[in-house]
Amino acid sequence: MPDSSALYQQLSSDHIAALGRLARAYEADPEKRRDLLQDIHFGLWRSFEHFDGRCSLRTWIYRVAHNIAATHVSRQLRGKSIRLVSLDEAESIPHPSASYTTVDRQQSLERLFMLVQQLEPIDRQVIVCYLEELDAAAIAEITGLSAPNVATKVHRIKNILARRFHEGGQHGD
Amino acid sequence: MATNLPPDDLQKAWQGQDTEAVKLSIEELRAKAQRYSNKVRFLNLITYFGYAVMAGVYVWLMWHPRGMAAALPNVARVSMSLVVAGICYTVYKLRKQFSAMPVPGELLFAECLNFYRSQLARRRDYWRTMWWWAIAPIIPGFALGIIANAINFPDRRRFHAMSIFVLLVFFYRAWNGFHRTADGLQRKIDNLDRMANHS
Repeated sequence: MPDSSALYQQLSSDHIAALGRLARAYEADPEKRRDLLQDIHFGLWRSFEHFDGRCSLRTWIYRVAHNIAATHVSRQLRGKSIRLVSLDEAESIPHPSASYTTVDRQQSLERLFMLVQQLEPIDRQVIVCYLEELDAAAIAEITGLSAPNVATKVHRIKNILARRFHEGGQHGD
Repeated sequence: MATNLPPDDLQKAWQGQDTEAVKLSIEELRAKAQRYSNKVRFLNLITYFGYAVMAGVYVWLMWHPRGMAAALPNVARVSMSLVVAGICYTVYKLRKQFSAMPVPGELLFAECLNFYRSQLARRRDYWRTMWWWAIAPIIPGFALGIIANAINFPDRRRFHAMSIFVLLVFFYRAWNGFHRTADGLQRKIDNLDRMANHS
């Protein structure tokens, strides 16, 4: 039986940073985000007891982290009237980009977070994995979606990002 | 000049952001495991304690009947025994199927789609069956009490009719509310299944 503590100690600084970014995609409030991040680390430690090399460590880490974060989102939304949207719906939601002629990197990131945080968990997982530059096969392995399905979603994500973050520039030129 | 970021730069901006570097020590993880286990146990205890108080009130009323129940103490005892039995059944179902529990470690690493679906399915089953294990078991006790009072106190017909009406409205609203919640969760599951089957 693998030693969960030994595996947990093997988490590299890249993994740690990715987990921090993932937590930000799922929780806007800094206090709750800190708790979520601790829950993710705790969940990883618990899960490593069952790690048997059936997938890469990275895939394992992403799966566990996304599952815990998705559970967190579900709990936060219970009893509230906030409705998350799918990628299809996100494409048609009007956005304020046309009014921006100049957007700095930080503002772009903030708007990116606003987009990501309104998505349903599965679509949020795909977009976060895309932003982490994971390929379609890796995203499929993490999410359980088929590779063609992932490719369709990634295509939609690129369209949404290009429209929201590049159209404003074209209007402003 | 506009400086909106194209998607490739967004990936770099995303990966370059400052984030909180959290890594817990093994001692902290073990302490968290203990706190987590205590919290789950506490949540379950609070729930069972609430039901125990409810059952306790009815047991007390069995031996200290009030109002109309005082005029029919034996019927009142049978009626309240049935309510207590119903509460016990509810606690049994809760403990067996729906108690607060941590997600088992062996489920955490499931593919995200399957994991999310299983969580939604568990909640859907909870709401879909709730009326049968939380409300229905106490109906026989209440029904016996109301029927016995209606037969023995015909001059209070209006009061009995109002009681029955209020209870029926409560049961109907509960049924409706639970099933609406379950249906909402089922729609999410259906969307996930469509997503999984799309290729």
